[in-house]
Amino acid sequence: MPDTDAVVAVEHLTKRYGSLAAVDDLSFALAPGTITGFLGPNGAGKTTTLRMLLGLAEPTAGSALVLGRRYRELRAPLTRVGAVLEASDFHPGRRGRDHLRMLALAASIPPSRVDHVLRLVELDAAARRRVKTYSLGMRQRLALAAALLGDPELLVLDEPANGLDPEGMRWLREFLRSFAADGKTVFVSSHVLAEVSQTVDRVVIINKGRLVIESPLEQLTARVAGAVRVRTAQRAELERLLRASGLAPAIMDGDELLVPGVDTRRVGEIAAAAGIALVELVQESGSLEDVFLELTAGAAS
Amino acid sequence: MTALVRAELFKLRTTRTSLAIVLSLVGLVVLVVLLSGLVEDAAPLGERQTQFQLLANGSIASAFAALVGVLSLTTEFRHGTIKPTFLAEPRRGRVLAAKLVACTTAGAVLGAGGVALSFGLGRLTMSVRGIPLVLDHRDLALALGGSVAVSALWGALGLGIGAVVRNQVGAIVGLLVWSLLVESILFGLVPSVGRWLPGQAGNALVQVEVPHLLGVLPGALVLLGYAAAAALAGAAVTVRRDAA
Repeated sequence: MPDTDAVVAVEHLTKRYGSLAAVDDLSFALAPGTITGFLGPNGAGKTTTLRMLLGLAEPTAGSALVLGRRYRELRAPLTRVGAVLEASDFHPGRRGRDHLRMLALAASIPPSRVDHVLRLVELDAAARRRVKTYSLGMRQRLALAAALLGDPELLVLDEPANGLDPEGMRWLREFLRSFAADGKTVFVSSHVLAEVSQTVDRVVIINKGRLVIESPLEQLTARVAGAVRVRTAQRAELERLLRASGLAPAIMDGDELLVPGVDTRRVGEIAAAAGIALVELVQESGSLEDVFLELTAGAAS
Repeated sequence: MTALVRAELFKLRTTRTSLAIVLSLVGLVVLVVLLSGLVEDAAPLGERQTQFQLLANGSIASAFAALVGVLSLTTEFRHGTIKPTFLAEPRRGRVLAAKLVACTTAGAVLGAGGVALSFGLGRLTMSVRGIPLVLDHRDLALALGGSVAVSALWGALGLGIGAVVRNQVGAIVGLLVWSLLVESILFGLVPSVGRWLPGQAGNALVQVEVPHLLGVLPGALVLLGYAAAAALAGAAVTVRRDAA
């Protein structure tokens, strides 16, 4: 049953290009007023998912609903959903302001909004220049201005950090925070967790088109603090024993297990009691980024 | 719907491509009319066919109208602006319909402007050389109406071709090879077949006393058929295919 309150509801979403499944049976939902990071390495299927969500590409199977409907069924969609896709989606010979006026005309949005959003993204001084003279950061701002044109309640951003300098990143973070503080929803993709870890409340992590984890950011942070990495030739046996002790080990590359919510002493005791020889036993003290890399690498094996 | 048409006309006005197309058309018409008007012998210029050809030279605008049509969608795919376009109006059939109106309108304007220019300039060269006008009002109406109709229809045909081919360079090269090579060779070798092709069907509207061409009305209907078929095929393809 689709969650009708969800701002974004993705259900068993699949997209195949020939034999390649770019997105593979993906399901997740976003609640209103949240900022969710959509994470995964390059090629994980993030952009393909967003394109299906926005009606630009057709799913092979499953569904992707925004505000309870398919994007194509939304009336006046720019007033409901704003999207920042690639920062290169402009005609280089058109003036920045004209790009926005063109969209405002097509979507029947009052022309006064054009100058309003240009001021909002601090691009008003360059608005009458042709886009080919813009830096990457300015193009990102123009793309954001286009997304904000209709004063939407959901903002979808695909890798907005690309091309932004640290100051631009801080500006964007603060902007998204204030946007969500008004009860609006943000869905922002990135291949670098650190870029969004200061901004997001929740994460949806995918790899190879499949869901790896969907959780509040705190839970992911908790994994960092209390995870033990253990390597043994008898991995299957140890995994069974850990599960019997109420733990939830994740299978990693090689002979490794990653066991959240436990310390090295307890894992060592369980192994010793069963006579299992350990090759390596480490308390994870890595960063959030390490967890992210580990999660996505684990799903890849 | 009117909002979408206005947006499409706005797109045409806000890049330098349209200016380049208008200037190229003006340059070409001026060059060809001055050359043929001043160099051609006075005797043939006194005859209906050659005189019509001189004064209706501006109907070459149909080639530029085809270019406007081809560029309408292929430019959006090339630069990625198709994404914001379809985000603003996800009902793609409506976007295509708006582009159809914009491209035929732009074609009609080019067709009218081209013939107005060639007529004015051609009359000037004739009066300088003291050659009398032998065309009657019906001929002049045909030159103007034919040029407007052919250019408007080629705008639609170009849009459809661009929608199906999608690749900008591919569509333009294909169109050039077709009109300059395939059609002219076919018409030269097998005129009974060649005259049914879109370029020759259009020529029936902007030339007189050329053997083998269709009549004005059949020519118009055949070209209209091609334009409608191309636009429908383009719409069907655009609605189905992923935009990105």
